[in-house]
Amino acid sequence: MNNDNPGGKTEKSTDILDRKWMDINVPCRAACPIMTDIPGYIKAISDGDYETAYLINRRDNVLPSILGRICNRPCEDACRHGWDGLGEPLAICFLKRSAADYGLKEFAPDIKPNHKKVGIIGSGPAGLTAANDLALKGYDVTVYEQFEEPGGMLRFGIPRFRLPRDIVEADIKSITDLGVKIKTNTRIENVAFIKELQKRNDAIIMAGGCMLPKKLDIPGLDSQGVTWGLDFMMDANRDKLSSSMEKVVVVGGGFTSVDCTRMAHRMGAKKIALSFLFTRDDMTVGEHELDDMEAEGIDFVFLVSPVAVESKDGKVTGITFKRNSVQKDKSIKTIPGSEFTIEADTVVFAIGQEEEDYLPGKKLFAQDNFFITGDFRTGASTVIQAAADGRQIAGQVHRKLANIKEYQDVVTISEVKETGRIRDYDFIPLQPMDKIPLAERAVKEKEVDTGYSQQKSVTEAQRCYLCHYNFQIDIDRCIYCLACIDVMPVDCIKMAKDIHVTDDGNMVPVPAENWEQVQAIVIDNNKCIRCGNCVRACPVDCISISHYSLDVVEKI
Amino acid sequence: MIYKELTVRFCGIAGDGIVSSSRIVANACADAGLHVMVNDIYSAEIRGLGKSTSTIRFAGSKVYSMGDGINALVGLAQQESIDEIKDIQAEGSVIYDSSSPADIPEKESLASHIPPEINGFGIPLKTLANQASGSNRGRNIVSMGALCYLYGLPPSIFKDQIEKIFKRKGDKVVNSNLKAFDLGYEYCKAHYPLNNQFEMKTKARPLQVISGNDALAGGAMDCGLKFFAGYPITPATKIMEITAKELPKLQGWTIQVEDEIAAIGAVLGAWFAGKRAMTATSGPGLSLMSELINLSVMAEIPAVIVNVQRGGPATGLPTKVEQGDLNISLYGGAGDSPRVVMAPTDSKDCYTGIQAAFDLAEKYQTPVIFLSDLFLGQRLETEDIKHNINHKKSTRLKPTREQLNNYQRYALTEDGVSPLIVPGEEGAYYSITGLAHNTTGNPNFESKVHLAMTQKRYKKFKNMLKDLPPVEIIGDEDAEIGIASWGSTFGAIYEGMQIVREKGIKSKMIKSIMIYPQDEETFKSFFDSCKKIIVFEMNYQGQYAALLKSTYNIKPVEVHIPSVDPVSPAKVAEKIMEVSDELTQ
Amino acid sequence: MKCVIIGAGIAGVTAAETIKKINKDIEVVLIGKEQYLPYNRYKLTEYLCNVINDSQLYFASFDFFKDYNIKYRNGEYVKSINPTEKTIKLYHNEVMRYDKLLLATGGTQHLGPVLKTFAPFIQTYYTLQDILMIKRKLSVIKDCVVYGENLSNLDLLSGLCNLGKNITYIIKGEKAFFPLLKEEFEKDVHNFLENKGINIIANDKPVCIRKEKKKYSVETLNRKVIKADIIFAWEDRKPNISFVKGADIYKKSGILVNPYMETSARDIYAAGDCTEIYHPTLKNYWINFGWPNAREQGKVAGENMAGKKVPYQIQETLTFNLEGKPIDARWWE
Repeated sequence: MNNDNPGGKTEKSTDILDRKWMDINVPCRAACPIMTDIPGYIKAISDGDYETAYLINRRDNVLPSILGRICNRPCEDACRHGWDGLGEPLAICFLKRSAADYGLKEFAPDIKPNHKKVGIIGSGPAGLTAANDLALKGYDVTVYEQFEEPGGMLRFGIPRFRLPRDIVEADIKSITDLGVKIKTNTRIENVAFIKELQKRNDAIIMAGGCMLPKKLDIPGLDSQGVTWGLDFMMDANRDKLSSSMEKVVVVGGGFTSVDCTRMAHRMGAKKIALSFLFTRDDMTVGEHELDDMEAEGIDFVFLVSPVAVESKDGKVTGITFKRNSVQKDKSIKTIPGSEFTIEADTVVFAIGQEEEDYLPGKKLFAQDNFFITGDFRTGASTVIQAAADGRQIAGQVHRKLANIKEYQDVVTISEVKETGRIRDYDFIPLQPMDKIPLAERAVKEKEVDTGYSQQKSVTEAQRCYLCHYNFQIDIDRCIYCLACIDVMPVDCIKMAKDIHVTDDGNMVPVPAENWEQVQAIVIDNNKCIRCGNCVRACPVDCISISHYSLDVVEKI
Repeated sequence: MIYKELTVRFCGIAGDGIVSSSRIVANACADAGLHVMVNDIYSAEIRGLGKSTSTIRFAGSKVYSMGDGINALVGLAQQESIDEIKDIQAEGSVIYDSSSPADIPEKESLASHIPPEINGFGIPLKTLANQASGSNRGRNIVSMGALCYLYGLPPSIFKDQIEKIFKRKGDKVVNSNLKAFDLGYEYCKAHYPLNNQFEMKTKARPLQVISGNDALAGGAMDCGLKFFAGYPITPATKIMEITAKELPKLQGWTIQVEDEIAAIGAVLGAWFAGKRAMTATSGPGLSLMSELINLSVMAEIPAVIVNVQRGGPATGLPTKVEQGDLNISLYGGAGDSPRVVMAPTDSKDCYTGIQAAFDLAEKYQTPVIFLSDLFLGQRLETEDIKHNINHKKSTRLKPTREQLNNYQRYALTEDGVSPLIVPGEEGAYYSITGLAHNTTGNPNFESKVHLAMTQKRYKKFKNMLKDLPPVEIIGDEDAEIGIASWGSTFGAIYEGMQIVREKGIKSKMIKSIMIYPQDEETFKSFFDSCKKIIVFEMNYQGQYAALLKSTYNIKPVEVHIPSVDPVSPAKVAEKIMEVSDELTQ
Repeated sequence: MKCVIIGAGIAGVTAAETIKKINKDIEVVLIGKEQYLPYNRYKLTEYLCNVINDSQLYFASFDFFKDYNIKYRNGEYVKSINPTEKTIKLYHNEVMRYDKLLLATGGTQHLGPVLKTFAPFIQTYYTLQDILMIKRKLSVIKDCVVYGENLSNLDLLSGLCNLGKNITYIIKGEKAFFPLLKEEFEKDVHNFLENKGINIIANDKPVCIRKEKKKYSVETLNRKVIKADIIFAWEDRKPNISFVKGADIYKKSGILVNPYMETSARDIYAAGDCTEIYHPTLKNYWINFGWPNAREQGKVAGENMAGKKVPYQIQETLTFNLEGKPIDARWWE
């Protein structure tokens, strides 16, 4: 989709070094479990082309409106703009949301049906992604969903103030528009039912998720007022929660536990605390969410282990903890004599989920046409990881059914004249997300983040270095004038005596100690921030820019 | 802290913009009515990564020397700046770059050498320069913005100067430099908000900034210089560059010749033809000129030879100052070869002194060796030099009609000065030779003629007194400690005297641009009135002390400073106090 | 052996002195973020009110560092540490090696996610620089807003009162509350403050600050608007340990240490307000509070770094008294 230099040279490469270049040099994309073309869509937004940005996401991660709100963003931690001394990482997730907010359009490509049938059990992110991919390849896909609405965790596990209902519906509609059928209120109870499906379909994918809460073995669990994380969220999302809670303690440390605390705030609870076995750093939830919790007045109690639920007349009165200390091997041990009790009328245990075990010996079910994916396969994970797994398994299904020899990564390298960015963009500060005022956040339905305006999204998108550009010095034309080194903003151009290729395919220039050793002036792409200073400074125009993109191709 | 005066030093390597930074600061201050002195120290390599520093001292009242130590160091190059830290006064500052791209080991880091009493300010010079201009150029301007905030100086004076200096490079360059300045200023405002204050002068008129070489060249041209011949040599080359550019506008000529011998030869030729002419060189060049200076003495052809002294002997220290050429100036000719020797003390002296030099040379038909030095020649200072373009253009003793009949070029007269015609003037012609000659100018080797001519030549010097620039006595008339010095040491000595004066110690100095001949009576009565005499000079032997001792029979305390850095007022004060202590014992 | 100490507060300086007293041949480098000589933080309000002068404020002089041969790197801060390589990186990318490292960086006032956006309008009240900046503006300050319920807020309120400023104090609960006060004072502190002329707004908190032409405008959760010349606001004090991010050292809010002030990383110690240690009486992890405790921790850390094996005795007393002076007897007279 790159049109920076029509008529410029383009080549396709299957060289392992080019493939590795992409992983190392486009860190956001490599960090994304589903390998979204992040610079691609951010560039589109900076050009004001929201539709292209949306379509890139629709193609790469299937659920852009949803992920643009609730993804846990491993890409942002890897973002080059956030490296030491370079500022803040890009607000990649907020930009994905903008792409969906302003660019969502009908996605109806031409599909040639191949008349093969696939059945998918579960319409969570893994199941939906697998359904999407297979439908695009021409399969006749039916998804069996146990609850009354599709979406799985998306519908029931995540609160509406983070993920509004209509957003979930919009992304799912984009998949059903491809011809995917979703049968709700259909629970696959037992092995016999599965065997029946196997007969009627060319392949079955089990994407049932982890719906069972992990349990603890402590006294008092049967008191009134004790509940489990997912049940709490599902009741909340179905408006079945009672609003009589005043003092709530949530035990956990993952996404669900955080959502429970914030939901409790919206249910009117006055004192809410989140307790966790380890410390704040160990929480998998992102800083921005912890900030939102703090703003909503939620307290944190770290390094504690629950030991008992206290009750009076069968009703919860509090929860007793022991303090933990961290051992050398990073495990925790409780400190003797450190018991203390926090008062509560509601205790929510959100300590993780497990898959339902009703498929005895599910591992033995790895027959020819039975596949498993998502949390059911990997254990509880994140939405983006589940989606990535769904894609991977769908790929295996297709490979099997269409007799494909293998999938091959192909890197397309095209010459461009310029990146379209100016140096001033590198100093634009991170654009903060607008949120609704604190006073309005007690309302259950109201989405807290209001989304970037178009102008703000363009400004934020301009910050992206566009790491998919590769800057190289042509050593045959370089005159060693060092003008490029004179203008480099970071230590990115080296007088090199050699280039060392590491085991993982990374090409690193080895700096020379003196002029005699210098073989070439080399741009260290690992450090390069693609500012273009060197290109502008070079008196002999020997620095070229090429655009790298990645496709996966079927080899029959 | 509130400062009344500040000394700032920029330190870096070639390409860091050291010199241009200090010029911007100096001109900005001068435009705001502050008095300024700037001294650059370069390494001697002609090109390459030598270290250079430029120090600017500015104050509300006149500054005479570079003072003692510095208040702020801007270290644009980390390692090279480490040596400069020792010069920083208490509560001073160091500005260093906190955005080095590569890791710096502890030993090489400038910050690790800053003692706790000195404030270190890490500023991301490279990053901010990059932000302003897209390259690493401009770090010096960023540091200037930082300096401006840290010492509470008004930013407008610097920004005006930046616009002036970069105007000819176009708007884009001006704007990126202004942006660099602002970024440095704002960074300090945000990160180091507690700044010092500087007492600016209210309603002060702008001052002129000038170097000794500039003043000298200007003075020469204002009093009728028509011809310059020279060979480039540090630190005199600037003079030739100026005359090459300006003399043609005054119907004059500059020629760069093949060596210093040719230079003095050409100068003598020009004077012979009746035009005021000059050459400028340094120690090694003056050595080469010895024999032709002798010709000037013998044939009584006027000459003005400027020697901007540098470290010697031989090629010596081309970029460092020394006052080592007194002896060769006084005694450097074979035979009984007297010549006028003058030594200006500041740029004003350079201006008025060179004009006096021309007048003396022309009137008394003698070579005048004008001893400037590297520090005086190259330093910038704010000076109020009134251009004296109505200066008498000729002091030549022209012959009368009678004297033209049977014209005697070397006629023996009362004061030794013979009337002089210029070739091409109607009525006479004469021979001119380096051989001993009689009054006609024709060669003559009789001993009594030789004696008479030698006496004549020496008599000229005895009668020069009325035309010599006057001697000044500075300080407390009744002081018992007297100081004699020559050349650019004046400023530091003057300030040293002020320092001890505040401690209640009186001293006085005899200031004379004339080294030879001198107003001996005034000198004698000065020395007689002193209980202790100190002679300061920047050479190892004590060349001036030797002259004074033999002329006036004094036993001074001699301070020989063959250092290559300008004399420091504190050291002068120390010496005066030492001598004062001896007196009271 | 080379000991590097990050933080020039009482813990760090005491540790440095202790190490040198045990073995003067150990090389000691003390890195402090502030330009100034080490000073008594708890005396800052007195300094602001000109009750004490420079010599009473600082507790170490330049001669102290010369005499003990401690290299004092003032005005610099550490960006990151590398326990595997045993190096630290200063903010200007200087890399310094250590044999033993002490983290004594103290705490800073934490703004919280809501107030973080308005940081440029909020005056911090923690360092000597803060005090000097406030001193510069004192003549034009009339109206002050204060938010936060730590002892340092009480300290600030007393200072502003003494200077005759007009104070609005916003509190989260019904009554003003400060931790660790002596019981008899704790009950009456709310009335005490009101009697001093402080205007208290209860059950509220600031959510928005705007800068207008001459004054700031503070808006609270309950929609009250207060105009002020200066705003002091912080949620609580948090240990200053952001530079430890990425290094393998256990921390809670502060750096976790054992009784020998050792952290989980080899040869790295921690002392003072940046540490968290399990307090058996409180039955909780406890971030150090109080000058004398920090000094004691610094001394113990220094002893352990210099080769001894000395445990830190956690003080049993909880009720706070500043350097022996009970809190109800300060400056209010």
